[in-house]
Amino acid sequence: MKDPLRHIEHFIKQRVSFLQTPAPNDWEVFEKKLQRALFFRRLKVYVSLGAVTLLFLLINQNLLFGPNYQRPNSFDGWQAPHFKALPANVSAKQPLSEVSLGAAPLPKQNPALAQVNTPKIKGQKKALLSPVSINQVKVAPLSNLSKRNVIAPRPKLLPIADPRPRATGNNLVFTNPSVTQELILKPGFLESRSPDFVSELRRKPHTPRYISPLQAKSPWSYSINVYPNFTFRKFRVNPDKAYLLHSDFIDEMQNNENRGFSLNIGFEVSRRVAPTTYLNTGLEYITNTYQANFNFRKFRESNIDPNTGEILNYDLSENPEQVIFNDDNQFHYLNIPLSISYQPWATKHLRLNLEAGASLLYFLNARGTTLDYSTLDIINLSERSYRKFMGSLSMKIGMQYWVNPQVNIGLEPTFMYFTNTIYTNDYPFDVIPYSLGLNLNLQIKLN
Amino acid sequence: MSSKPEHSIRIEDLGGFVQAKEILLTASEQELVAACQAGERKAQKRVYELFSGKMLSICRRYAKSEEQAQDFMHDGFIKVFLNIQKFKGHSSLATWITRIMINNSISAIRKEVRKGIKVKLDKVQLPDASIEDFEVIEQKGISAQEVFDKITQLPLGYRTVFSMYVLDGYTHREIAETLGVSEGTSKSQLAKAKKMLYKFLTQA
Repeated sequence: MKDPLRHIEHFIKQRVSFLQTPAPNDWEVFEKKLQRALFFRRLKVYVSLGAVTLLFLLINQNLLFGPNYQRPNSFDGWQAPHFKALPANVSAKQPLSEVSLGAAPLPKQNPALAQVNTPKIKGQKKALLSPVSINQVKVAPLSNLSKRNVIAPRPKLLPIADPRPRATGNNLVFTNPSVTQELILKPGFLESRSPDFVSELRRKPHTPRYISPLQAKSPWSYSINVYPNFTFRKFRVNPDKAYLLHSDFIDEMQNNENRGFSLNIGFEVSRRVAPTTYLNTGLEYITNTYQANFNFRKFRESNIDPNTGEILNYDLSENPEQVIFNDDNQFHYLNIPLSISYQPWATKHLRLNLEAGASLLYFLNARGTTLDYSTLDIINLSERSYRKFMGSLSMKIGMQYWVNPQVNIGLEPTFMYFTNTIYTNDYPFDVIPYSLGLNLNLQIKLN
Repeated sequence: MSSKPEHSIRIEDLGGFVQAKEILLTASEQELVAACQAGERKAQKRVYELFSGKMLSICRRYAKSEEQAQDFMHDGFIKVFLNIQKFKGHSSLATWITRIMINNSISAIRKEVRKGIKVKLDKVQLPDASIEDFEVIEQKGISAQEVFDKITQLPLGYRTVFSMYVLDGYTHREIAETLGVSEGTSKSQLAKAKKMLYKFLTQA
């Protein structure tokens, strides 16, 4: 006796093989999609190449431009006047005039006490400091600089705040007004200083970090941020309460609810905590929108236990109902973010921003229509109860363009992950919203 | 004593002298493929017009709606044209495109499975089948289009398992891996899909 179910398999396979479906005749529609795909494929290649180049430039600035490369307005490459290290074979009591510095001995006509390294200011390879001759400087025995022979007690030493010099144009400027270039070269000056002072002079001077016009220099800055973003959310069944859920609910929600587009507006207060590091907080109004375009066949009805709400079984519908509706589901929040941003690279008009933080969201309201999770009937979102407070973690990486002192335009891919679900524990499912997007950020500085 | 005639040549004996493309593709297909590989839009249009009808019917088996089926097909053809450089002619162009369409549709389903969508099609009470009823179905002379319409009326999970197993030749193991279910579940869903189809066809 033939098994009808096995037979039907063969029957359908045979029939479907004869199926002749007419071509859809939608080449124009497809052609646009193909062109877009080809464009994005090329864009992907160019962006990847650009990102690799940018990364290479960031990492290997010195490798590319050499150790003397100097960023605009920076002090990079500046070397303070310092005494070269004395060779190890030099006796502590040997006069400095007899000491040869490095491999080559000092020429007699130019027996400098110290070889002064000249500042490398942009556009000028050699500085204008003249070497100091032995005739101009009364050389003290090296023993006076030696630590063990220092007789003067520390309290008698003159206080030196920061003897390291800075470069301004072609001149040396000492941060301590009492220490000047002439004073250092004055006979007897070094003897009156501690060995610490001499070693300070030998140290490479501190080079302040380059701050571009784009980076806030004041301790506090205030701005208004307006940025659109794209949102989507993920449904997750609570296994302990799955019996309350219509088997087709999650499928239909995932299949028919699309990602949404939102516009966020915020006021941001930024505190500069390091030269290019900022602590940010503020208040934002966030809207998460999901487009619900439902079009499915409801082929079974759930039989629900009126006491427990448990779905006992399903009745197959004689006339399956086609459920069709389109709506925007909107969830509104107030967000209080706290983040730290680091700007490792900047030029006059562009800056790279890396930001990570967390935020506290206060749920305001929800608008739109959706499906009931046990019956698949259409219900209003406002009928549901929601959690009032939610947490989120966020990460941003992007570039900002400086338009003028008040306006920056940013392009920042931002990822926001909500740490808890918007629905309370009463629901048999979790909904984890995500916000992911290429934020086009318009920042208006208020100070 | 019989021996093989000297003039018989096996395909593998040809080695590098004859490309596989030359064996399996017709001359017109070769030209079409070469033109597509060169990025000629007219050739791409010709390929699309030739195969889009058949491919749409394949995508319909896995899609929830007509719009989604068209999206599946468009995505599939985009993959075809973006990867046509990789087409070496080891099969016919139609077979290669069909495989891409099926893989693309199943990949979309797999993505949904990763999102947490599980195929839960239990607890449906269906009538038992009898041989007499099936003979009635055969006598009805149901057309291929009608049969196909009945398949598309199946719930997505049933339809997916049925299409993968019966029409596209996947094994239960492969189906189970793709849909994130057990092999037993795949088998039971196939049985239920066939039961439901049986019911639809008897009512037709």
